[in-house]
Amino acid sequence: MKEPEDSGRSSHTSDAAWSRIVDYVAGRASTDERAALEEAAARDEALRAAIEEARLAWERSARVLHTTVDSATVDRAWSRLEQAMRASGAERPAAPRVIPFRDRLPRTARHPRRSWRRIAALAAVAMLAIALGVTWTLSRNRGAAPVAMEQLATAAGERLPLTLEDGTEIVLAPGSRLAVPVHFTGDTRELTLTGRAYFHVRHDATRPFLVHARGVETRVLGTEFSVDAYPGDGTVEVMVRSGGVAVRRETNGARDGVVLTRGQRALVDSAGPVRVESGVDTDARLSWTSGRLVFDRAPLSEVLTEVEHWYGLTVELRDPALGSRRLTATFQRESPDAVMQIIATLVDARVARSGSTIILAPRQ
Amino acid sequence: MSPEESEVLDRIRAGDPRAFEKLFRDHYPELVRFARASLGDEAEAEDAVHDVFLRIWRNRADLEVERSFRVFLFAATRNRTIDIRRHRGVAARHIEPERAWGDRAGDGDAVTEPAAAAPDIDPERLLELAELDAAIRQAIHDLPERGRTAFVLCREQEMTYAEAAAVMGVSPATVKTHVARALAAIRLAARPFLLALLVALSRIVR
Repeated sequence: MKEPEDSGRSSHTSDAAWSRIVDYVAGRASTDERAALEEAAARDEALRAAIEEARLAWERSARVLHTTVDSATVDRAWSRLEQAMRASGAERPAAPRVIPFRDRLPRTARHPRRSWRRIAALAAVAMLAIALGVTWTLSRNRGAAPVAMEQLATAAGERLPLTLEDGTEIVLAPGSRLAVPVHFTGDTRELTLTGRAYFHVRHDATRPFLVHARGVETRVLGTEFSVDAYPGDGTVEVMVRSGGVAVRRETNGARDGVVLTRGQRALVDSAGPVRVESGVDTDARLSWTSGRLVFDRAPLSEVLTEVEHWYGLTVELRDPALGSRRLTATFQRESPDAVMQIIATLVDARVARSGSTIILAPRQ
Repeated sequence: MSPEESEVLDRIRAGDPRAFEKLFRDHYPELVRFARASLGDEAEAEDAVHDVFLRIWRNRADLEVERSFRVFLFAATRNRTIDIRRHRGVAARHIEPERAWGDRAGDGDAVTEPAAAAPDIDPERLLELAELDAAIRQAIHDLPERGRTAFVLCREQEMTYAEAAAVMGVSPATVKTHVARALAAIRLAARPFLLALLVALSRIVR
C-alpha cells in the first residue's frame, strides 16, 4: 500500500496518494499532512488538478446527498409510527393499546408519583378511542363472545402500514377504513374494509383470513393480495400478487365465486358475472403501497379516479372524449396542484377550479 | 454510553412513549437522508426508518444499546436498507427506476418523467452543475454497499472514521479506504463534468 510521497509518475491516484488527497479535501488531514500536500502541489500541476477534482466531487456530493427533512415531515412520520405502535402493541402487555384501558387503572395506583402522567396518558387513550371510533360488535361467527374492533382510517394522501398480531402485514391506502379485531379469537381472522388495502397474510391453515369489502368476501390462506373497494367506484377489485384467494359475493345464495392465483384479478360489479383477468402487472399496480402512483398508458378516466382517491380531490372532466386519452406518468411526492398541472399538460388540457372541484377542460 | 442516554434507554425499555418520541424526532431526519442515499427513493427511505423504529419499539423490553443511540440507529437503518435492496430483486427494478431521485434537466421526455419538471437548479446558468450532480448521484448509487455506506456516513453525516467504523462494525482504517475508493469512483464517473466545470470556473476566475 505504501508509496513514496511523489512517485514521479503523472498519476496521483495511487491508493495512498489519493487517500491523502481525500483526507485533505475532507478536512481530515493533520496540519503536517496539509502542509506537505500543499507544498507538493505547488510544484506539481497534475497533483493540483487531482486535488481540484477531488474537492469539487467532495463538495458536490454533500449537495447531492443532502435533503431537508422538515418538521412537518417528522410530525407526519411520528404520527404514522404512533399509529403503527398502537396497531402492533397487542403481543406485549406493556404496549399502549387502545382497547383494554381498564387494565391500566391498577397501574396508575401502583405509581402514585407518576400518576399525573398516567392520567394524561389515559385521557389521551380515551380520546383516541373516541377518535378511532372503537366499537364493540358481535362476531359474525357463531355469535359467541363480543369482539373488540379497532377502526383504522387514513386521510387523503396518507398511507398506513400495519402489522397485525398474527404477523399479517397490511398497507391501508389513502381515504380508506379498516375494522380489525383487537385480538383474533375464534377460528377465523376477519376484517372489514372500505377503500383499498394491500395484504400480506401470514399463513395459518387453521384460521382462514377473510376480508369483507362492500359485499365481496375474499378468503385467504396465506398470500399477498389487494382489495380495492372504494365507495363510489362501481367495481370491487381483488388482485393477487402471490398465493391464492377465493372471492365471492356475500349476497345470500350467490354461487359465482372464483379462485384467483398469482397475477390475476377479479372485478366484481354489483350485478353480472365476476370477471377474471390474468397476466396483470401486479407490481406496477401495487406501487402505491410504497407511495408511488404509476400509470402506464392508462386512460385519463382511470388516472383521475386514482388521483381522486389518493388526494381526496373531486375532478370534473368537461369533455368526455378526454377521458380516453392515455398517459404514462409516475407521481410520488408532488402536491395535488402539481399533479393536476402535469396531467393537464400530458393530455393537452387546462385546469380550472370551481370551489372544491377541479375542472379539466380541453385547451382551446 | 452517556448517563443521559442510559436514562432514555431505561425509559424506553419501560415503555415510555415520550422518551421514544424524543429519540425518534432527534434522529429521524438524518436516518432518512442516510437511507435515501442507499435506496434512492424518499418514500422508501421513510418506510425503512419507520420499520427500524417500529421494530425497536416492539422489542423495547430487550433493547440493548452498546455505544450510543446514534451508532445503534445508523447500524439498524443500514441493515434495513440492505434487506430492502436484497428483496427488491430484478422484477421490482422497473417500477423503481434508479433515477427515482434523479432530476434530469432538459431531456424533454416529460411523458415518462414528469418529475423532471422541477429541478432545483437553474438549468440555463448551471447546466454543467446539474449534469455533474446527476453523474455523482448515479455514481453514489452504483457504489458497492460498504463503500456507499462509509462514504455517506463520513460525507453527509460528517462522522469521523471511528464513528462510521462503529456503525459498520469494521476498523477506522477500513472506513478510510472505503471513503477514498468511493470518491475515486465518483471522480471517475463524473470526470467529464468535473473537468468541464473546472475549465468553466477557471475562465470565470481569469
